[in-house]
Amino acid sequence: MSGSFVQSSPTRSIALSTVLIAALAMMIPTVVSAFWLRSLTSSLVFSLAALGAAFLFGRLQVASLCQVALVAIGGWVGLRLSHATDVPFLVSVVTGGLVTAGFGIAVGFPALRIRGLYFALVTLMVAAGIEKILQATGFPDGGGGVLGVDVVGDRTAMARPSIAVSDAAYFRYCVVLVAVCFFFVALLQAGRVGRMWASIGRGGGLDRSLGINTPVVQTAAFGLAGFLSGIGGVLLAGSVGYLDPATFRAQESIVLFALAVACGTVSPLGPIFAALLYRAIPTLLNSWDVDGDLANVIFGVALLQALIQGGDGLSGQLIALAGWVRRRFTGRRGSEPPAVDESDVGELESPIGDRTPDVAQAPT
Amino acid sequence: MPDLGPFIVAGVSLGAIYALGGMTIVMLFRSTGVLNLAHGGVGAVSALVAWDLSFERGQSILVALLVGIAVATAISVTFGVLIAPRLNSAPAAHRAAGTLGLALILFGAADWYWGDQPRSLRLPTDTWATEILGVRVTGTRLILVLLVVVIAIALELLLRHTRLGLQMRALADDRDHSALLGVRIARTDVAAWVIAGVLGGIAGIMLGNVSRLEAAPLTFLVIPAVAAAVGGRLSSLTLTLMAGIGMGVLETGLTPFGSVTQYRSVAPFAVAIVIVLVMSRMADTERIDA
Repeated sequence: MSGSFVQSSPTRSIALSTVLIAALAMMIPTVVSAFWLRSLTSSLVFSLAALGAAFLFGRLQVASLCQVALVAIGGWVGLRLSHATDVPFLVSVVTGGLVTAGFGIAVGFPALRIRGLYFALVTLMVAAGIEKILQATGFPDGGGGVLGVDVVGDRTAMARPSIAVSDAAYFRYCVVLVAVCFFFVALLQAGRVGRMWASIGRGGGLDRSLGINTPVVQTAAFGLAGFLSGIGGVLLAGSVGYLDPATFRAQESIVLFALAVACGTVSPLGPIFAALLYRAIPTLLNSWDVDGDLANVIFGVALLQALIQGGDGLSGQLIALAGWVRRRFTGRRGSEPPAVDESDVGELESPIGDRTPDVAQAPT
Repeated sequence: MPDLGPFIVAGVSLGAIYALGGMTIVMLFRSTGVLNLAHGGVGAVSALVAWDLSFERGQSILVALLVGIAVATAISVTFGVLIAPRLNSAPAAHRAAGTLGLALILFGAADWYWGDQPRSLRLPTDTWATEILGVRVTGTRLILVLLVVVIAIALELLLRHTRLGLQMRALADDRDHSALLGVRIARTDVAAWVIAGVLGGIAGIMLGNVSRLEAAPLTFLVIPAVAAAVGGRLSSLTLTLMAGIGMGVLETGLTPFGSVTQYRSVAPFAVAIVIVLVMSRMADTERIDA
């Protein structure tokens, strides 16, 4: 994932990314229509869920098939808190993230103690179970009781933060929070945690040789993925005001997972592309009078292609292409695009070799 | 205590559907090491092809059903021969993720071609019925339950007592070693995918008859089938059969209990999650990497 740019030249990369993100955040609301602004806000939210799927699959080699369902949990908690209390929006966001993280840890740990495949299956069960529960309960919309559903009256929308009431301001608010999350994950990956993830993903018993308690580290990573999705859920609830169970069907988690893998799990651009495609392709196809269902065919082919070919999917290919173009113009040696996964491997090699991660004391 | 009889009868036929999918998934996993999440998608295409041929193009229902199953088998074998081997060296979760790619392709293409209008695949066996515990059970549902039991026995016999079954199990354990021992990998693989395709096709047609004939629900009915397979610990066909039927009975058996009735369709997934929790307790010392 994003470890590569932080590690290669941290200060410069962070500064450049910050400037670029700030420029995009300022510019985008002024140039796109209200419809596309809402669509981009929702893409931002789902990029957090895709980020979780990406580092779990790319680094730890486990497939999380319930990322969109975790967004629903965060959204439910955010809506419930917002309607029941007067807590600031940001507190709802963090609480939604924490509750979802706790849920993820509770579900992920037992599955990961058996073997990786069971994790994929249990997350699939979770996605399906949450879909069914939400169909029965709905989302809180200002009513009373535990579920907070207003059966008779008008639905109440979730209040946005006072500094981000308009759509444009809320988009920028989401950009800031999502960027913070991406930087946080990038920093984690560049440090000790990233080395542990990399040694687990490498397989071959390296993790056990280094004394890493693999299920605990994997579960913590799943907790982090839950935290990110949960934050996304509250941001989505704030964006729309209400949530609809149809948004969170089990198949949505599968589609988002397919896109996260197809778009690349190493570069931070991968989850962003994945979320843009997740929201944009069906809308675009429909606006061209092509059946949006065809998007699923494209996503399926892209997933198979990424799995079979290895490398780093769409974002990896774009980055390789950009590097090749840059070398052509700067006249440096090498006319072939580099192998996509080289940067990834290079980045993982040294930290493991130099230092032994001090994780032997991780709880068993 | 409400009279649960009718709900149990309904639950057995629902559970038979879960069990059929679960057993096919377990059979293929035991022989190729691929957990096929496209099982529902293959079945959906089979049912929709059969419906198209018989109700849109006027073919006889028998021809339509056979062509539907043949198409499902062709899809299954094509994937098994062309795509699945390319992921053989990947972890089990990656191989399962590959079948999700196939599921999305089949679901997207079927939804695009056939749309999501309400339709149903009526079979000649729907017209006769019998009464069990006060519930009218159609011939199709009876055949479904009997078929599931027969398939369970046949698969168990195949895997345990035939040369092909032995080779299939050897392949699942270690492909390289099996090849060195003279197992014809390609042929054994094709056999497993053919069986999976035929059973997937039959399951799809049965499902298209007893539930909505739409690509999305049929494709994602693979999830409760996976729940049944988890119930069989991905290895035992008998346990999968029992788990599938148990989940179906639990799901419908909760109907008369007002406080939980709206959550009853969560039952198969909740049971599967509990089974994994229990397995993880038992598997403390036998963690396997996959």
